[in-house]
Amino acid sequence: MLWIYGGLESRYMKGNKYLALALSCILLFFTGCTGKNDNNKQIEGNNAIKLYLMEYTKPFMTKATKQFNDQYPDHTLDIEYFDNKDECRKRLNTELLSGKGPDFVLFDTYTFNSIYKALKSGVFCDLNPFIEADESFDMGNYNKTVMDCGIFDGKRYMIPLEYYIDTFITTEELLEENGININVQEWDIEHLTNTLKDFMDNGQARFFFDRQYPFSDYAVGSGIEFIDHENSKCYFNTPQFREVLNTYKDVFLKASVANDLRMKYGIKYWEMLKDNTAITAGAVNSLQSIWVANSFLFDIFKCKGRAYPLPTYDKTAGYSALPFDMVAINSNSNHKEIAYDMIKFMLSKELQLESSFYPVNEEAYDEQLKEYMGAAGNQIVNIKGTPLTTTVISEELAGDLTNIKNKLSRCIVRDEYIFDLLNDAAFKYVDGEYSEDQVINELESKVMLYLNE
Amino acid sequence: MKIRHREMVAGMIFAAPCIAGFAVFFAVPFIISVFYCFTEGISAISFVGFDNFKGLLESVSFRLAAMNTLKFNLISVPFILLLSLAIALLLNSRLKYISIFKSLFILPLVIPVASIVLVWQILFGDYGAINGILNAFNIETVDWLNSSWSFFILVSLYVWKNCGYNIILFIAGLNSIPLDYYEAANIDGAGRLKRFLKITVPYLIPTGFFVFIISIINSFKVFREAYLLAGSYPHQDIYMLQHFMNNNFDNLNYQRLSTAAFLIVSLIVILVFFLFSFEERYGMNFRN
Amino acid sequence: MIVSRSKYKRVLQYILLLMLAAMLLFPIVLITANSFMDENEVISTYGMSGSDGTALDKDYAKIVFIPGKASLMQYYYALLREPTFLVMFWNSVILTAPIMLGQILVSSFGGYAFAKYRFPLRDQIFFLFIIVMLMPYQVTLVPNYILFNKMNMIGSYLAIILPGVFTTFGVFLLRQFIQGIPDEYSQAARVDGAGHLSIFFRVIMPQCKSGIASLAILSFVDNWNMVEQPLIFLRDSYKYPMSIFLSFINTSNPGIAFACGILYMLPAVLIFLYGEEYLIKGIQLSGIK
Repeated sequence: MLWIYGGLESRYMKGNKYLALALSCILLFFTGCTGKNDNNKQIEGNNAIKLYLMEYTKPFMTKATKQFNDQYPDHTLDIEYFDNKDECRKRLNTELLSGKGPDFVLFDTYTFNSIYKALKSGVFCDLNPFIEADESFDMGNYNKTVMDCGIFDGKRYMIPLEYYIDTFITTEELLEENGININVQEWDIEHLTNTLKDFMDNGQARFFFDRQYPFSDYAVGSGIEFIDHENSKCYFNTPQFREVLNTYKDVFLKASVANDLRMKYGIKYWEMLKDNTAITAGAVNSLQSIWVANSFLFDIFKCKGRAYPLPTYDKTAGYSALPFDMVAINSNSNHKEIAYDMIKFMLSKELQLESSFYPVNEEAYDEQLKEYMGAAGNQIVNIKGTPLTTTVISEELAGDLTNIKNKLSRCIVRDEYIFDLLNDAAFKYVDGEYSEDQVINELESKVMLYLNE
Repeated sequence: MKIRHREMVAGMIFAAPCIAGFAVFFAVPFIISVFYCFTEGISAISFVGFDNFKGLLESVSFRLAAMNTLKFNLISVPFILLLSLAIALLLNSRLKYISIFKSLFILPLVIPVASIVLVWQILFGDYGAINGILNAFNIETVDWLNSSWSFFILVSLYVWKNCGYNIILFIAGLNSIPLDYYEAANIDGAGRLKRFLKITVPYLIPTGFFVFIISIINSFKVFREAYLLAGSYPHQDIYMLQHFMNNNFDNLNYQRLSTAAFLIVSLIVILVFFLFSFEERYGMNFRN
Repeated sequence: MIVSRSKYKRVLQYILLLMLAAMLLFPIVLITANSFMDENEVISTYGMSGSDGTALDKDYAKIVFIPGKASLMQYYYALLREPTFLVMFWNSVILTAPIMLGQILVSSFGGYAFAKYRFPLRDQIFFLFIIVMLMPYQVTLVPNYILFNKMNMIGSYLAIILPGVFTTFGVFLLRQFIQGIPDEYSQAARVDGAGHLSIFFRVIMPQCKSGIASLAILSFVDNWNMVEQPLIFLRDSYKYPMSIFLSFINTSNPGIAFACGILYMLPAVLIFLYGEEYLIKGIQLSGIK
């Protein structure tokens, strides 16, 4: 074992050794400095705009590609499609980290491990300067609350393309039949608890909700603040959260169709309405699905549907929207202007009309709604093998939806890890495996660990 | 003089490939990463001085990871040292078939990580075999991997895997102590324990330190098993520095990763330096 | 330690040894035995239900050493039905063999230099080698990635092979060995007029066989199990080595996981058995000065 120590001592005088060490440190420091200069902006200079997308976006992108080719004849859109989520994520991560990667990124909540951490790292560039410099961009065209969810630390790093709000559909007549009366103005957790209690006591149908909403959805819908990403704090040990947790376990779940029962119906949720198993339909995250659900309600009960959101903790609080697909520009890109134009095109009405959720472009939303209120009535369509005569969305229903939309006060990006934690913890609590304090402790410690990494 | 010079040149030529490769793929990247310790941001890199270090030391997660890694090393390394020494003493007899046992003990090193993890999952999983046995006796089952037991499970994995290698090393060390020393002590009337303490232990210190270093290196490598068993965010008790670094890598925060690595490496340098000075002073070997 | 001749003691030692051996070999035996089980039996014994992971009624796993119905089905599926398996196996070989050979070459030259020659900064550089050995890989990963990206080598096996060849463990190990070779041999050869290279090949290398063998085995085992680097430096999934496949197979297709593990382990075990004599001698010689 003497080789190291002996060697260091014997060969050189101590002074000489330290001098050599110091000199090499200084030399290496300078090497490091020059390294910094040539580290930035090395994306291929040829006129190719690069994108990494998942296979399922292909149909959506063909239209975008055509538009791009028309507008920029001397540039090419170089899209690489992935069929494996993990591979896409890994490629994106390593390339973005090493200062390269695609010019702009179209991603959803599963692409990055944590969207907030990705935003924090500065990998995307601030879009505000582009928006301000662009006179043709009118923020009023878009749902401001949803658009603002990409703002972190004062900078707008990403823009969502579409979003959804957790709502459910039912008819006033059904509610009356089951002895319930929902007052949307006062729709908070307490009101929900009372409503569900009334339902369990007097209701005819077996369940109220046609599915078990995951706890994360319920917690987000309640509007309480339990995570603060900017300051890396979490607030689980609060009376509000405890109440939300307990109402979920004691009341909410009991009034929802359990998973194994639901499996029997598969995708055909309307069968549950038919045989009185449930009285609301929750598969309504887009105007199209609302139209379908509404049509089923009319088909079965001959009554017009109304929409209700998940209740908030505080009746004065607003509702929460959750974005799905989002776009951002790589801060290392050489083609930021063109990428920005692509984003604008994706936000335009033509493309937004094809959203699978609520489009963030208000004109597209209004046009979609108008179509479902007018031209889309009285058609025979086939929904998963079941024929259905469609009904238009009524004025009242449209009014409900607009009210909900107008009452949006925040837009929360799903951090999949945290949502999974919430759901796991709630599951253990409902199961009886954990006590309330254990759940809160576990959530606090795990989420703090995650936030502070 | 000239011969000396030629020797030097020859030595440098022989060493050139490995030093060059080392420089290009390890040394320079490490220097670059040290540079990153003092910056922030991905494209618009800005110099932030010691902010990264401050943020790191204030981070709850980093402190937890460092504590856990330290705890893991403080518990498992001495444990594996003592265990492998004991087994080496046991094996260092002239029993028949002893060489077969020696080969068998090395075998765990060769097994692929994924298979080991599979077996451990079968044993300790929430619906694993051990819980099955507990259930049969109507004892409440424990979610081993998600409780404080996970720490000991990881230790057991580490010990299982690396024991054999250490045992062989100790056997070699034991065999290198000349028998006459023992005989002389015997003649002087020293008992078994005294012989062990005064002859075996001092002459084993060089080997012991080699094993100690190798064990520490292997304790860092245990991350792979921990990751396959429990994912990126395991139970609090097994969240180690490697998890911290890996997660920062996945979250595009290379600077934090480099800062943590720099701190770790500095500590290791200090530790290794002290170890060798200690060994130099107290270890006896056969130089004389 | 002097062994006492009492029979009682010997029996006790054997018992202890057998117990230890049982504990150490238990997982290996389990995997081997289970690899001969029918796929359905695997699923029912271990309560796994395949890729979706949500078993509707979960049973506790049982440890089974003797398969109910011995069948080679797992092997059949792994080798013949799962086409990627063999491809990945060869990918592993393509990755591991060059690293092994390259490492032996570079490290023997380097070890010889550090052991027998003196040149400026020799010991300081060696100290750095040790520090680097202890460093976690994520640190050098990003700069390496940038480097290979600039040279357009991302996606090629070289991006993994080159850093693997130059890891410093080999130099560390072989230096220990070569230091143990008495200087008289090379001095005698020098007197006979042999040049540096011929001394290296004719005097040192033959004496160093056990060192090289042990380096070969250890390097093989290390690189055969490599997971993170291929994931990051390789682009196409058809280039992935078996180690990655194995880590995913546990959840995606547990039915053949055992057989895959055995097949994956076989080369390592074979090389080990072939060179074990050298390995044991090798470890022994490196532990002491």
